[in-house]
Amino acid sequence: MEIEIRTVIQPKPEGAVVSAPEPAAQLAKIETENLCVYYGRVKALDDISIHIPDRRVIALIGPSGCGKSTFLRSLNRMNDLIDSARVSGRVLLDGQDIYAPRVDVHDLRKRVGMVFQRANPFPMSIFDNVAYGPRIHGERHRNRLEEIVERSLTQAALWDEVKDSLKRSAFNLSGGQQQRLCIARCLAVGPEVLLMDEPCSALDPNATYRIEELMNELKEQYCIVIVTHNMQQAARVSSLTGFFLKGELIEFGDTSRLFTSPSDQRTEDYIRGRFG
Amino acid sequence: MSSLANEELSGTNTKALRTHGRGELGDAIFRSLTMAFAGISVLLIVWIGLQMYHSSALSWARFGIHFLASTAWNAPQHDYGALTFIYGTIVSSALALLIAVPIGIGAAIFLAEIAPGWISAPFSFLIELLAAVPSVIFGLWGFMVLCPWLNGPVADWIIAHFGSIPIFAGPAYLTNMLAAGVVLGLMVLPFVTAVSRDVIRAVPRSQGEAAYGLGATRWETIHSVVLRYGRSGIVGAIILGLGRAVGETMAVAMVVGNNTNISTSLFAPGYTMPSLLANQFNEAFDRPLQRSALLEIALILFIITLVVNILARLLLWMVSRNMNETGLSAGYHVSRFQRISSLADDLVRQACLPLLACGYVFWLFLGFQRSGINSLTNPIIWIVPVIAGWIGWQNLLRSTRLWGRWRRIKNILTLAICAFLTFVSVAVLLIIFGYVVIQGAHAITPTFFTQAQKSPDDPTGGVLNGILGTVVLVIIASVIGLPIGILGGIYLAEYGRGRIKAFVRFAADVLNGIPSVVIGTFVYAIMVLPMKRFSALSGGVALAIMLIPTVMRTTEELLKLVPDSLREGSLGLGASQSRTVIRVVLPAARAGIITGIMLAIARIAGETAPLLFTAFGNDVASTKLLHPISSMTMLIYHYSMSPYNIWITQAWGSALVLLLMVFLVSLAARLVTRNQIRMV
Amino acid sequence: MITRMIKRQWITGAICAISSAIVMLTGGAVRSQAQTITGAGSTFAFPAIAKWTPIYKHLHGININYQPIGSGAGISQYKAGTVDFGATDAPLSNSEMKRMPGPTLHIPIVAGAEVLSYNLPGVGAGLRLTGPIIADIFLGKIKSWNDPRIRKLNPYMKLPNLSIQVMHRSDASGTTFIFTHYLSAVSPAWARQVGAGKSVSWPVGQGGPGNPGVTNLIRHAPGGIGYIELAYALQNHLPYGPIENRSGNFVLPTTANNQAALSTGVARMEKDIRSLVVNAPGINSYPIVGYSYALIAEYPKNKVKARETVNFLRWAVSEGQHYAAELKYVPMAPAVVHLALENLNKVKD
Ligand SMILES: Nc1ncnc2c1ncn2[C@@H]1O[C@H](COP(=O)(O)OP(=O)(O)OP(=O)(O)O)[C@@H](O)[C@H]1O
Ligand SMILES: [Mg+2]
Repeated sequence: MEIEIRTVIQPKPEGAVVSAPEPAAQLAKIETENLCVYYGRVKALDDISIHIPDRRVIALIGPSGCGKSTFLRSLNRMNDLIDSARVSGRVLLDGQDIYAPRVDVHDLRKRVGMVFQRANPFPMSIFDNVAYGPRIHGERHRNRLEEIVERSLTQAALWDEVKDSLKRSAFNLSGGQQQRLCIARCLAVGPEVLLMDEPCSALDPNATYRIEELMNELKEQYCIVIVTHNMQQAARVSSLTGFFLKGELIEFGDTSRLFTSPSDQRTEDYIRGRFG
Repeated sequence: MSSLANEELSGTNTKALRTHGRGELGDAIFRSLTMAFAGISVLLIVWIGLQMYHSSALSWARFGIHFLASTAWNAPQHDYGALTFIYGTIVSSALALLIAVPIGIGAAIFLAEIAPGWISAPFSFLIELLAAVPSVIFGLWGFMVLCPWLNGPVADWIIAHFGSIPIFAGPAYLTNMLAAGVVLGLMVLPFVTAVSRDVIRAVPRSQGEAAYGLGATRWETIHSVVLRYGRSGIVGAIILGLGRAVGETMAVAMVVGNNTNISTSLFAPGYTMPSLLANQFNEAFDRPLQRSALLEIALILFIITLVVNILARLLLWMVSRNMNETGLSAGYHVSRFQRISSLADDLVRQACLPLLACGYVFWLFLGFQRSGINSLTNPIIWIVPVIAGWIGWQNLLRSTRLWGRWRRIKNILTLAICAFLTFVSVAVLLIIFGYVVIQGAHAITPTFFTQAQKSPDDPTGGVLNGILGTVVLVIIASVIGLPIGILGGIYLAEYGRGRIKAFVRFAADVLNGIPSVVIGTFVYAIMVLPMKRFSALSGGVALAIMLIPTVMRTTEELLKLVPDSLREGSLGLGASQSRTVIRVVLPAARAGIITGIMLAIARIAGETAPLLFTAFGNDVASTKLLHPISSMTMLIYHYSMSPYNIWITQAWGSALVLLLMVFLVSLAARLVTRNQIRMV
Repeated sequence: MITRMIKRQWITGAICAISSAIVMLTGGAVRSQAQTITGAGSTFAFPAIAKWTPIYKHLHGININYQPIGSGAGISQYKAGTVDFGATDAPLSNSEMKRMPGPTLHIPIVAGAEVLSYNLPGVGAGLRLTGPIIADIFLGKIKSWNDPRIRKLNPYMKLPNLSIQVMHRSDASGTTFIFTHYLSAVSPAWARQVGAGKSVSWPVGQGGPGNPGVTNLIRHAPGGIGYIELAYALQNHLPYGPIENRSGNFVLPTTANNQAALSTGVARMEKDIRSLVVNAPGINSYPIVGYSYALIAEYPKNKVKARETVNFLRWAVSEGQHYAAELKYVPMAPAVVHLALENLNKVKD
């Protein structure tokens, strides 16, 4: 693992550091201000303030248990489902506080979709899986549903493989296909942001490659936040990377700079594989 | 627990080495013993089946297949048919499911998905307690409280508004099919709730998260993902519940009306197969044809038990497959079931709606004909328009910005309904319990426990004969049933292999599902007749037959919980397998097994039907093995069906004693095992 | 150490439990060693027997375990040999006699009347009924209490517009046997459609176990009506009324009227003890009366038990009648008692 990382990072020339995106110029898609999340009395996230720009892939890295998933889940309020979870600070989506009292959380989750570590298709046909989201959000029209399903599956690079077996159970797909189906299912509700929590950790290199390729295409339209333990992957797909440690955001900046000349000693230790 | 086992281990170590030579022989003997005892359940199933088959030959020869289609039950003319009773059983069971399934699943949803732990745990327990209430107490409560209520205000209201529908046609009778359905529903409810709750809890978290992540509301998630995922498990639970409803005897016999005419109205009396057996088996000995016909009905019940068990096992087995291979590579069983169920879905969607519509039109037509509904103020006219309006309303909202708000409202509404249904189930338990406590408290006089039955006008009588009887019967059943059950369980957990084991386990499950009244007829044939006497012994044997499968399966489940490392530890020290099982594995699971046994005993202590044909009842406080003997449950049955106030009060008092006993055992079991075994 | 102790406790506990169980089960007597006779059957006679048993126990130290499971079950279990005596208000037919394992003796033990009790809110005792009307109620032809035919008979009663809930037996019963024989005698329609027997195919109604069960049903069902032995109506304060007899008089089941009816059957009973006396002639005769019989074997297998049983029955037909009369059973005519004692003497014990 260590060696791999070095081989990825070292070839990059020192001078090619791209400057961090100018925050003032680009309006943030998501912005957090002093975000803290507690599980009961335990503080899982400590004072996170971050600007996430639109139409980029942002990677989050850090050792296990440092709060990456927690952070991701606080961006579409999935933490609401955990009884003990409590949030303070603000999370702004397009400038609107998503924790404000009048926000419709179901609508929010439609705008901020999520893909999970393990593919979790529903026990339905492929078609019904993708059509599930549009249906609950009020779409009943058969033709329009078919349209949406085809578009989403195409976007998720799955259409060609499944277009003849839309009625078959989603469980019959391979792991990688299932994960792409989950992405398609997410895209079908027309999200603006895609949160992906270690989407490739259960996949083989080939399937991983397909998904990374997919992310590359999707970032033209969406803001994508991905959690990964694979630093190679972070380097390959993301333009910005954030490093979490023990609930704190240690460093956030341009991916190639972060991997070549991290400004914090702890970041450097981590990416050089000295701990975590 | 493990330290305890370790100590046992070091103690047995040297002995194990010393007796090495004999160990193998002992092992073989022990293994054969467990196998033989496990085989008893198979033997019993075959024996019961053959017994019913032979005894019903006369009726079969006389009526043939026509027996199933004939509504006659006419002793003077020697003409018998089963249709009335099959119909009654189907209708009452269907009603039971109609009540138990929505309430049960609603409550399960609330308990598994919505309620915080501090509500969920005690409520689950209360609902499971409902399952421990003996059938005869449901009958007592049903007859004394439910029947007058249903026959009074409820029937008045329903008949006034829906009387033009044949199934709600008046007049209402005190005891009727509806009462039977409601009582059965309450009895099946805890079972459906408990199993559904477990199935819902077993649905992987990731399924729910996926739906929430797409913006689904809680209700949408539960309804279209969680329930869907657990569907086959829930269907399995419902089928097992159906099996119970079909075989239930005493509670139904007390409220169903016992009339041999088929009536379409639910307010009219009817008859079910088990209650027919309970009412007529004792008097049919001198009428060979009637007896044979009754036993053919018992055979039908037996076959239904078999079919229900096979179906339910199949479904639950699919679920366990399904759950073991979560998500990624779930096997083809799922998809096959999916295909079947989606086919069923299509059928329902495509056939039911038109059928309903036709029925509605037809009924309107009928109603106008009979001038049953001649005004638009009758609410029933509005049912279909309201449903249509509802669907239209949803479609209208769907395309507007209000859809989101509507979804939230619907979410809150449905979740509130689930919560409400849970409270209903708990309230039912509390109501029954309240009645038993309040009515029963009057009966507790000094002589209540010290005197046997006296004449109905003598207030100094007591129920000592019942209490002693129940104690004696339980002791006999335990002496016979426990060794067989425990050793059989050991076989299943420790020795059984492959097909044989699966078969033995299946036999135990079937035996567990056979209606108790059928077991009563069986024991009458194999013991009471040859011995030419009713006796405590034959009553005990009947109860033992019911005890064996429960104890067997509990023992198996609990032995499987003992970690293999303990077994390996002991075997590694050179102990024989039998010694390992007896000295290490059994002690490790002791607490659980004892509680399981206590629960099983509490259950048989609440049995009535089989005792009517075996223990028979005794006015005198007898403890003799070869004489008739009474029991609390038989006393409750006889007393509550009597018109004497003193006896009725004593029936409530006995119910109180019995309930307290059963509840205490359940509570103790819950405290000791903390959910290791389910009571239902 | 601790486990050892626990284990020892366990073992001693188990030994105690098992040994005490064995002591109990083998009849080592928590209670007295008294002999127990088991009888079963008729609920018609049950109130009387329930009255007798404690007295008899007190006088002679013998326990009588009588289970009121219905005459049909009484006959059945007598035939199966599972009881020491059966009790039935429906005497055995010739073919039934033939099917019994040995010669069977009928011992009349009580005589009584059946009444039609009802539960009509606001209506007291004294509702007049005729045979054909009763038959039509039980045929389901008369459905409501304010049916013109009932109203015409009872012009001074305020009969509610309530549907009639017919109550009958769910078990095979001698009470039913007597009642259906009565109905067959007074109503050709009944005789044709339903007929008489211990259990018939009821066109309408709800079934309850035994006389107690039917009484209980009537008690709880507004609009209910059912046929029960007089003692049950009296014990439970249920109303009943006069019934038209063969001479066209409306008669109540008073002891005198019942005796009048029963006396017309004595001569026939001397020829065949199984004779029925329903719808008896005579100005005062109450039309629905009958006997309850004990069934015992002429050649019993268990002599000891048979002797005790005979002793008990001997007591019942003589001194016992006095106690039964307190419950308004009809004291049996001396000739019938004589017949009963004669039959008891035939038992070869
Ligand atoms: N439901 C929960 N209840 C209580 N504590 C939790 C819960 N979920 C997470 N935590 C705690 O919060 C901290 C952060 O967890 P989180 O899942 O965000 O870590 P992560 O960075 O995603 O780790 P990984 O890389 O292993 O997925 C951990 O210490 C964890 O124990
Ligand atoms: Mg994580």
